[in-house]
Amino acid sequence: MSTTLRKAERERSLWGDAWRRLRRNLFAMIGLVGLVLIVLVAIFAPRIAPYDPNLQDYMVAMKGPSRDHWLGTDNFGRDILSRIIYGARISLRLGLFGTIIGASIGSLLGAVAGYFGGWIDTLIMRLLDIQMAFPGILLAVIVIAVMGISDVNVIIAIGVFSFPTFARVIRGSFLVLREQDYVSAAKSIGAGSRRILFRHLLPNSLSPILVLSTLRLGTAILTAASLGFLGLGVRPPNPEWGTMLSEGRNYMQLAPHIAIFPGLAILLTVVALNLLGDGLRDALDPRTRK
Amino acid sequence: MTKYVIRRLAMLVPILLGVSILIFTVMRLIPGDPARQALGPEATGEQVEALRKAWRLDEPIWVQYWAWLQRAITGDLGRSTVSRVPVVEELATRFPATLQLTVAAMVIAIVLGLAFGVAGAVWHNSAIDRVTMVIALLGICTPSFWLGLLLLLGFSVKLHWFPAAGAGGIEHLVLPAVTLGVGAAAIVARVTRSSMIDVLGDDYVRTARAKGLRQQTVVTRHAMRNAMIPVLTILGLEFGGLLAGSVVTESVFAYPGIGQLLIRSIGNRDFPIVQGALLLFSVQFVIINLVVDLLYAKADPRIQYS
Repeated sequence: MSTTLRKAERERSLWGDAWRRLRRNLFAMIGLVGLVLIVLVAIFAPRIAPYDPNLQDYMVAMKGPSRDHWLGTDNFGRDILSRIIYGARISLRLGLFGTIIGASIGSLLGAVAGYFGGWIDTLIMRLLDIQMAFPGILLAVIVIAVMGISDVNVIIAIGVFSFPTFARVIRGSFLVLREQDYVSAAKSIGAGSRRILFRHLLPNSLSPILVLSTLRLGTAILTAASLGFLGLGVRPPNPEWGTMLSEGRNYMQLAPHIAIFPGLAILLTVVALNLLGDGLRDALDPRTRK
Repeated sequence: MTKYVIRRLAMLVPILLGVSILIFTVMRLIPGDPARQALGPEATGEQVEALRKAWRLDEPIWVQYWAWLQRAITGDLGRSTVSRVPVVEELATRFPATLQLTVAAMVIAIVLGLAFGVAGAVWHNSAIDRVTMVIALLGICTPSFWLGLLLLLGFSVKLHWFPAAGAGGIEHLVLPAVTLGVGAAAIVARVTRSSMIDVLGDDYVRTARAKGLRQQTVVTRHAMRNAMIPVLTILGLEFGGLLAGSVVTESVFAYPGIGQLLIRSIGNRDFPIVQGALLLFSVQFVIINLVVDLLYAKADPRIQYS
């Protein structure tokens, strides 16, 4: 095969096409750059943060933004910028692991329901209907109520809260995919259900899983922050953004910056993830392809 | 239609049973003796043993569930382990406040959401469209508790326009309802916009315009009614989201509703209240979804309820 032909083939691949479309989408690129920055901040927190996030200095407690403390200090005199930088690690970790759990369980359930259909599908969908009766953050609150407050339980709560959405979307995707010719072809050469599910159908469902994961990561970070705010998430003095905001609420009159900046960090992260998620959806959705 | 309503009502039974089984099972997963938890630490061993017998806790789990369900149906959800007040009484005292908050937030979501969504669609691809959609994006991404604190800071602490906490008159309701409603308004705006853009491109809208009808009539009489089906679906789901969101909002504004009670009871490990509040939230949501399903018929007579 000539180099030109190989290049042309590479250019026409699903992911190559998607990347080109994504690059042309200004908002998606803003989201991607923002997310990369936040991830870098989280990875290099010890090098970037100007202070130890838990270092208390009562001499400068509740001071507003200044040259020494760019985002001011909290009621213990801790540097808010350093806490937000370290907080990125916690928030991203909780959101990421929670979303991975939700995506894995949800995709598996959705795949099984969509591929096998019949009573298996009915059973899984009715169970999801019951879950639907606990909307929004309520399911995560139930998990924490039962299992107690800890970082691991927050991740489990986010996973439990997220998996039904994945299950529904992947089921929908599998209902369409299982009717495709290549599935009949695989069946005709004697491929088993497991092989068809994992080697043929799941790779073809990667794009909805990726789009949904990006969008749900934002929701997961919001959920972790909400749990932190309610006192059901990460415990102080760990600098989780929602927990920081909760600590700052008592000083809204004297030092509003204690609560304002962590909230801004949550907002910017979730906006970046939503912009990227929307852009990925447009780039990967075959219906929007010209 | 009547047949459909009866069938939908019948479908509620397995869902509600499933919900009750889930809540019952989950509450039994909590370490510790439910009878001891219900009676509190001061109860004597005999009292606990008597309650264990009455609740059939020494019998198989399905017998326990059946006994619990029978009590629950008659309105006996036990007593708060903290206040010793019956759970139903605690919930009944606080339910009106939560309902008021959720409905007010829903009104805000509908009014703002429809206005922004329709404006975005009518002036599609214009500056108005872009501005409304950026606002909607911010509405979706903003943590409600943060927005609530900012509103408190601006309108309560600085301007003294609204009280900072509690419930009572409409002045207590404004800030919590806005806090709770903004996220839902943003989602309603997005769905309304995309649905209206689809509808505004349809032939009958072109015909309506060709007849010389005014833009306002085309939008409100012809396009909006047909664009409402997906909006109604999302409103049903969002109502559930608002119910759940009230848990966070009530915490910000010290608003004395079920959400605040739920969080406080989790902190106090007051599980009869937690169980009752969860049951109330889920039953409300299931009923709201039924109502939304029935409303489809009003919005779109083409829907056949066979």
